[in-house]
Amino acid sequence: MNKKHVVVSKAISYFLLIFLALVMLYPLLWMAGGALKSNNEIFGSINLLPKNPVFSAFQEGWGGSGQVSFGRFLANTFALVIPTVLFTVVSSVLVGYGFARFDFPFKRMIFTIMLSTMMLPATVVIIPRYIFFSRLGWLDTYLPFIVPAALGCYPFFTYLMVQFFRGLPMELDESAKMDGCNSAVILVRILLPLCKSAIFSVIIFQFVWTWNDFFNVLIYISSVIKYPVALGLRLSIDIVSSNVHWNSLLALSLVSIIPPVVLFFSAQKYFIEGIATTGMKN
Amino acid sequence: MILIVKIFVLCGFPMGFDNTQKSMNKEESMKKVFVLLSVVVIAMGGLFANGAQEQENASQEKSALRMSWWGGDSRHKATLDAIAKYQEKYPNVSISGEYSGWDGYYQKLVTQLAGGTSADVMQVSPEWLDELMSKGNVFAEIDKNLVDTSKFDKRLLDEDCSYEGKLVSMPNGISTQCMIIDRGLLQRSGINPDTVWDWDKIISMGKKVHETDPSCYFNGSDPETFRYFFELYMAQIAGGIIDDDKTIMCTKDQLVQAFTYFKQWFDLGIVEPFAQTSLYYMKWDQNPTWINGKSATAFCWTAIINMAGKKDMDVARLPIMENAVDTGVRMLPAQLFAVNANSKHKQEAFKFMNYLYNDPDATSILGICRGIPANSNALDQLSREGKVDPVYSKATKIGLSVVGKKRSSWQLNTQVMQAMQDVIDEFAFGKLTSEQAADKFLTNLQNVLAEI
Amino acid sequence: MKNKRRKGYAGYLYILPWVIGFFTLQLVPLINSFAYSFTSFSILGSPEFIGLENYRKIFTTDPDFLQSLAVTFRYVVMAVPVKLLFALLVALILNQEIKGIGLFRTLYYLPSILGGSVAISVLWKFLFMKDGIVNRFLSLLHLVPLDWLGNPRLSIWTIGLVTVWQFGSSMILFLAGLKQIPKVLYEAARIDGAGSMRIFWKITLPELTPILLFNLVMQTINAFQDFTPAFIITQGGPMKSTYLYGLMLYNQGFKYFKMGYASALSWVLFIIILFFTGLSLKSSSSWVHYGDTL
Repeated sequence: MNKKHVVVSKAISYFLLIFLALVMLYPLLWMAGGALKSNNEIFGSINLLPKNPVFSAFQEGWGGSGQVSFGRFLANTFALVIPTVLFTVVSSVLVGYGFARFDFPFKRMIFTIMLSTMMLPATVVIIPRYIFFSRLGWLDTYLPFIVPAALGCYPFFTYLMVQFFRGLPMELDESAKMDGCNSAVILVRILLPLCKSAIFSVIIFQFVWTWNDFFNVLIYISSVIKYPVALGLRLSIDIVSSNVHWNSLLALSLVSIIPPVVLFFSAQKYFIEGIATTGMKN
Repeated sequence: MILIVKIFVLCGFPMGFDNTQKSMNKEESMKKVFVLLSVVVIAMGGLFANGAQEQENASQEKSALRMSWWGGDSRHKATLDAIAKYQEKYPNVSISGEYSGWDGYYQKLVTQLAGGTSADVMQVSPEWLDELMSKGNVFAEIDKNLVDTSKFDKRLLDEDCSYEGKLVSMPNGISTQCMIIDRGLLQRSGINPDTVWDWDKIISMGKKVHETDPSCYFNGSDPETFRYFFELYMAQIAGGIIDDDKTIMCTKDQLVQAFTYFKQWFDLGIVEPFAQTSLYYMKWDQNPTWINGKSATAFCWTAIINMAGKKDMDVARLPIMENAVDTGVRMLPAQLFAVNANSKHKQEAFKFMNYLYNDPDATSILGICRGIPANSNALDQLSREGKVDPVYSKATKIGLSVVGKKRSSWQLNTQVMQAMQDVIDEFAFGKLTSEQAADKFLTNLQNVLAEI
Repeated sequence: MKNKRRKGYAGYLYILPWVIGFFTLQLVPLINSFAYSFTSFSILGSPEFIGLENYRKIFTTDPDFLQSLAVTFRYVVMAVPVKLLFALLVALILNQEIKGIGLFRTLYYLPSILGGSVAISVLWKFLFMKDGIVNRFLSLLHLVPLDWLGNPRLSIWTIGLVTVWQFGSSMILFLAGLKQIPKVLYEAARIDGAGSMRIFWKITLPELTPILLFNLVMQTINAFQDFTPAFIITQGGPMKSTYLYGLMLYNQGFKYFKMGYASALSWVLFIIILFFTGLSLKSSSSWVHYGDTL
């Protein structure tokens, strides 16, 4: 393979990447520009950059609405998302392991049932679930998010774990078994370290999805003081929308995606690159 | 805490096992896993149940009311201030405000009503009253001993705040209908801004806006407000579309007449094409055409006239034809407050409502955040305090001077409105002729009415 | 091939959390909603049994049902393959030694992080309205500007673009899958003198097939249920040309109170999704390559 070939293909790759990134990110750049514009300029003009940058949008918006600051909304979102993510990981690892590495009566049937629950449109179970949670007194808390996560109600992640586990050769289990380890040890000591990429995928996805959830928080959370950012952002939109400070909305939207972005940026190296060669050589 | 337990279980277990792996056999380890998992699950259950218990206890100490409403920042602040004042006067009552924007409020309200968890005092749109009450008595009858209703227009209370003869809600502010006009744009197009409009003038004079500047339009309606004009026209030639007995009031010929008339709006550029405005369905004020001052008029409820950042704005009467059967101009409370029929604190709720409507402090603090008050004392007080915006005043006067009869709630039913909207949309996109549109309109309505 | 898995009941213990969750939070509500589908239930009153009336209406008189189904099919058929294609291509490119790779990955994932935010509705309108940014660029290049959102024939593709734009999650999964391909396979192939195209078709792609299947199935399932872009940008218009099934379901349940009818609609969707998933899974045995056997 000659050097020139490699250089050319690299150059092309870079070019494509940058071009595509610009195209994809243009909308976000526009958002950033909008955050610095005055309200009228946003709808008025097409330019990316503001004529006279206005920085007040961030500050205005931060005060939040009424008596609750935007900072509170952010804190709430963390309080909601972190437990949900943790319980999701634990539950999908356990359940995924069960399906991938064990045989038991009716397994195929149960697995199929679990998969088919992924296809259940959420709308159809919303009302019965809502009534159930209200009887338990869990309304206006974050429990309707955390408990389903702990109880494996996100078959997507379980399926993800199953697929990853199945990609790991049984030989690993075998040799550990021969050393006398039981299933739990095999899971924790041997298989889990290899699944870091999958686990981080679960963490990142569940974090982002829960962070962005709108409909569920809308029906379950009714006190403003417990609002996560998804609801906090919409709080200022009135029926008469010209009272809306669009620039604040855009500014705060940008702020609200910073935590997931930071998480992603820092975690991605770990889960994608760390996997390299551990345990794969036979 | 539970988290720590779980992590401990998963980490601690294998470590202990290392030392004794030779002596324990598989069965025992299985049991261990099982036991630990069960403990965790049970502990979780216990923790959560405990949490729920704590919540209940907390709410029984003082009288705690919950109040829900929608609005923008100014309304939230005013309402919260009014609540704070009330709590000063009556320290044994604590009221928590659950407020949000308009978007999604209705869905949340319905879900809460279904789950029995709605607030004690709820802000409700008058257009929902019939639908909600007919599905189950969700609002409590107003206790007139606790809430003084004498300063309200009786007709308003009977027609818009009652259900089957019982008063179940109280009106906030009056809202009626008018046209917002851009004086500047009208003048630049050679039209007298003080014109008293009728349908013919809209055609003969309105078309000048588009003729003068093709990027401008006489009317900035989105498909929904366009339908309002349509219904207005139908009210004037036929009395309305559906009456209180659920029967269709208009004939096919009248519909054809209406569709033929409105076709001119599209042909002559009096209104912006639907292809552009359907993006702003129910949000005509977010349409850049409107924001950039390229639409001269807009159909508007007076309670939500917004003038922010628009110069040359004024209000005018909606078009009314001579010999109209009914003007078709509506008047409604801007919103209502109602008390949850299942509330455990009805007395306190009514007392609080009375405060909101009749107490001078509350009136002062709330101002016109919910529209021009429907309570005559409150209105007088605000006028004396100079808090009534002159444009609101003018718009309300104009609208009230031509108010027609109350529109049938059947015509306001969401499915019926959608059925009408669908045909109007197709017509606007040029898929139907006036004849076809009239036919389809009638057929769709008949189908929907048979169902609801 | 000998099944090396552990036999016995141990597996049940591990799947216990799911079992509990399944019964209380999925099965029971599901049965409830199935029961509701045979009733007329307006949320506020109590359910009234009406037999097969809802289903009869769906399959005979409801004009929106067929329209919505057609719209949704178009959406799925366009959005899913395109999204997966982009995700795969970008993942392949990013899998090389590229400087700033972490940055690129984050950049491509950003749109997905934005989710269903209100900001997207403003953004998309701004980009695609008649004199929006996209059309202005097109005019600059002397191409014909189109009515992306106002033309009923184009609107659904524009909505589909939101989903395609958010290909980040699929891309991540492909990247993770690529990283898990044993380097040893590549080395062996190079030693045998295989060129990069051969390597791709014979090694990379087959090794990726489990992830590909997963992505395909999940994206299809989600796409059928999607409603956010339609809800926040066009509300199903113009003229119901973007009336996704998820939106119709939502309207029936939360706008018109017809929970019985909405339940029936959701069951119909459920069956459709089951069918397509079953199709994918069945075909998978012929093209998917696992490290073990099921």
